[in-house]
Amino acid sequence: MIKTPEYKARVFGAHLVLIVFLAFVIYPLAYLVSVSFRTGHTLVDTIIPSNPTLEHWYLAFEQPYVGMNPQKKDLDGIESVTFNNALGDVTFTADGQWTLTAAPRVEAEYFPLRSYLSIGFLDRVGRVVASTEPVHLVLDTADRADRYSDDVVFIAADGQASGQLTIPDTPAGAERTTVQYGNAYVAKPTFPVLSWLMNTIKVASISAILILLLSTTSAYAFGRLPFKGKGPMLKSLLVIQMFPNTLFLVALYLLFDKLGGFVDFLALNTHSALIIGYMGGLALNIFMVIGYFDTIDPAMEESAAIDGATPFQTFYKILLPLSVPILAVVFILAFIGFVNEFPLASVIISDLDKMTLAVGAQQYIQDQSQLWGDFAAAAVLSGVPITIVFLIAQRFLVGGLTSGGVKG
Amino acid sequence: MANQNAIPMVPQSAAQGGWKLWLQRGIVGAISLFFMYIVLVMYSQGEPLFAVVMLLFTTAFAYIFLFDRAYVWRYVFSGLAGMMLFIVFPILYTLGIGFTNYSNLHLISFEQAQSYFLNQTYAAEGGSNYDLVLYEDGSDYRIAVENEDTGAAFVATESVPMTHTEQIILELDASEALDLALATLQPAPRNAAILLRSELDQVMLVLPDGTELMKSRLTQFSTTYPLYELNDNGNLVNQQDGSVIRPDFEIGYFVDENGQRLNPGFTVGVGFDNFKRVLTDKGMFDPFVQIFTWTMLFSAFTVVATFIIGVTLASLVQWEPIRGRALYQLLLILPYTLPSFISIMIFKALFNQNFGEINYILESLFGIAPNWNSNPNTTRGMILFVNTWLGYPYMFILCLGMLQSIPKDLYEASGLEGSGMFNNFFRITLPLILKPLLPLLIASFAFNFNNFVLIELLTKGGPIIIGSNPQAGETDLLVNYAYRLAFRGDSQDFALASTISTFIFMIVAVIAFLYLKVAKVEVGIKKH
Repeated sequence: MIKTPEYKARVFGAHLVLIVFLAFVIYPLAYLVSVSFRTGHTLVDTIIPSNPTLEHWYLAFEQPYVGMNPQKKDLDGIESVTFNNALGDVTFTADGQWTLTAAPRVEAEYFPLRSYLSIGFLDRVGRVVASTEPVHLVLDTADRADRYSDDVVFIAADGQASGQLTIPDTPAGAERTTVQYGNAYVAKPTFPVLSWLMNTIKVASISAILILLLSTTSAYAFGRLPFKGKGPMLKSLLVIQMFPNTLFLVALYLLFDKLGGFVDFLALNTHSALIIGYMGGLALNIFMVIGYFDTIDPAMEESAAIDGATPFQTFYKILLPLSVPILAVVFILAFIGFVNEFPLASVIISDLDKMTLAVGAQQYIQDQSQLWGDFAAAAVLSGVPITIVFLIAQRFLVGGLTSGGVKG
Repeated sequence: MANQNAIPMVPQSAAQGGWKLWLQRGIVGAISLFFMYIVLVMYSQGEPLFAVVMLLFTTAFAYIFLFDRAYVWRYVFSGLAGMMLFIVFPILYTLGIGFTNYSNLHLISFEQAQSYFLNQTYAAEGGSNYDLVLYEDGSDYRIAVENEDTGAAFVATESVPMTHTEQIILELDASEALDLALATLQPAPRNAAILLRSELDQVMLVLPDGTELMKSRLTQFSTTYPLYELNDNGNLVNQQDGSVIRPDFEIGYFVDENGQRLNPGFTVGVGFDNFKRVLTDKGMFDPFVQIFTWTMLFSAFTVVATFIIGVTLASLVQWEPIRGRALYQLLLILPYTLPSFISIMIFKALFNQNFGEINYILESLFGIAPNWNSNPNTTRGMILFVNTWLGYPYMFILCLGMLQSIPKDLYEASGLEGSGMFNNFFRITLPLILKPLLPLLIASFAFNFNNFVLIELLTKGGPIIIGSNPQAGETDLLVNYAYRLAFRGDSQDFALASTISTFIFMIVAVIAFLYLKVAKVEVGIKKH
């Protein structure tokens, strides 16, 4: 083929369209990762966080995070200033002399606590124009004193420390002289993200296995075995699968409310009820498996039957081993579908510890408090494994999707 | 519908070894017994309907798993039972609720409402009165009473925190040990009886001889008697003042002689009232039509937009001169792989009115900051944008599969005839993929028609439609509207929600009918 300039331009254009489009696709994902590393829960920042922190990630892994908030006190025209930086009470005099009397506001299990002291010059709007090299402070129990090198000031939990900061001349443009210090704090995990992850994996995998069991046996009967009323039944299944459970959530809620009175494992607020409730979404999967069974030549099963195999043996020993690809597709699609499922889980589960990720993640973003940073870390933590499974499986899925219906 | 490839139906359980047969019977029998136990529990708890359904289920189970004649059904039984229980039954149940007044004002059955009234008590004039003395026990309270006439004192056997909201029953005792215990407690301040008056209203005291006392005045408890008695014609007679209340099955309330309604109401059938209300009440009909229109437009737009984007991208990625096609494909389906409960929330952040990136960019480029929360049209625009982002990869994957199946020589032939890129697309590609895709497009329409999660997570249906009563949202889909009626707001009108659901069922049935027409399901016949 001759590569005319016009042809080259076309190829270039196609690349350009794809790349511009991909920017739209990837930006929100990058944004999510960015928010998870930002200090605080701010949405206003550059895509590379200006002040990166692992705080949200510590919390997502249910670990307490010992952090530091930058604070300042004005020095101009003041003899001395006292403040508490969570390590203890600090007295700072105008000539740069400081004394810290340890009085940690945080329990010993979160030691070491860190802080710093430096002189900062601010302009009229409060921006830092210049600041001195900070003195780093660390507070820990006395027996761990030897762990810290000389460039930090060590303070025992009941000790005292003092030092001198040189206050340089006020640089041009600066209007205020301040002492800058770090205020130590402990952020404790508010939500059981790991339990949510475990709950999700448990519910989704058990449900997907059950769906696999039920859909293959049903598909075998519908695809291979003769029985009365098969045609109308298949048609009704096709109609049934068009009705998502969001349409009758009230009825499902009341149903489980009633059933729970009779059998414990069907009670509201249990995972077993949720799993059983998910079995309603079977029809679509049956069709996918039937579609695959149709592509397998039944000659082998017939010869097995002639040799005396029971229908169950032909199903179990011949048809199933031949159908492994579709079994994988059904399992993965069902698994991802259940991980994503929100309506039924939100109606059935109400305890914080029992929630699945889809329901739990919404707890971060309420009208009153919007913990975007914590949400982002939890979302990346839970989204990445699912995305990876999906990407690995995508080769199988193309065929599976075309033979089935829609993503649920 | 005969299947030519059918396998001879001879389950050989009869020919199996004897012990296997007995094992099968034993297991099926044991499970059936367990099911029968549940039937009994259901019946004894006053749920005959559930008991009958469960009995039928058990019978079917035992028959299917014991008799070879029903062998095939063993494969489909669990699946069908699951779908019956969790789809068909809830649909029927929903249809049923639509014809009642079931809501948080009419939550209980007539029998429950009646027994509620029969359990009411009153403090009688002629009974003995007891003066209340409250003691503080740490943060808890201990109740003691003293008979007005005889001076006999009684003390509750335990202290309670007085934070209950439902009736509690406390045993009283007169033993000296309790008197001693009392000596260590401080009398509560005088205003405690006032501060705790609503909690004290919910306290029933039981004297050692079994007499029940209820609060009759601020600091007085008195002997109580049942307030209502059932008379022959089903009315309840107030024992205190002789008035009569009667159940009104039209409105689902007990009413007194002046026609005043008494809470709690009970559930009654109201015929087509809910449907009439939706179709004639202006506060409901207008929002209903508006929401219906928006739902249709939303679904149609989503299908068309995602299809156009999907097929365009698929054609580009399929084009051989493009290098790195596998990578493009991988990245393009990313939105499909990320759980939607995450991606929707990302957009919620990006579209944040004051702090979102999108308004930041729009502001710096064009100097505008559209309101994504309170302006209905921009909110709808946002929803359409987000749903297109979420939905195009599915169409992309479908089109990719379809495009691969188009024979290449068609394009070669048309290329020889001098046909261009667009001509190829509209004359060859589109006609060839549209036909097999049609059922999937309809399914996609049906899915988006009920795309509850998107709206619930992104806007919760807001902003509210002005003049709607009960409240409806400008961006509500029909299914979100039903959810709002049932679970949001103060009325929790399950019946009205079910009525809306019934309308949705009808629409989905029409879509399903179209789907069946287009898909031409060939059941039981091999495709090859």
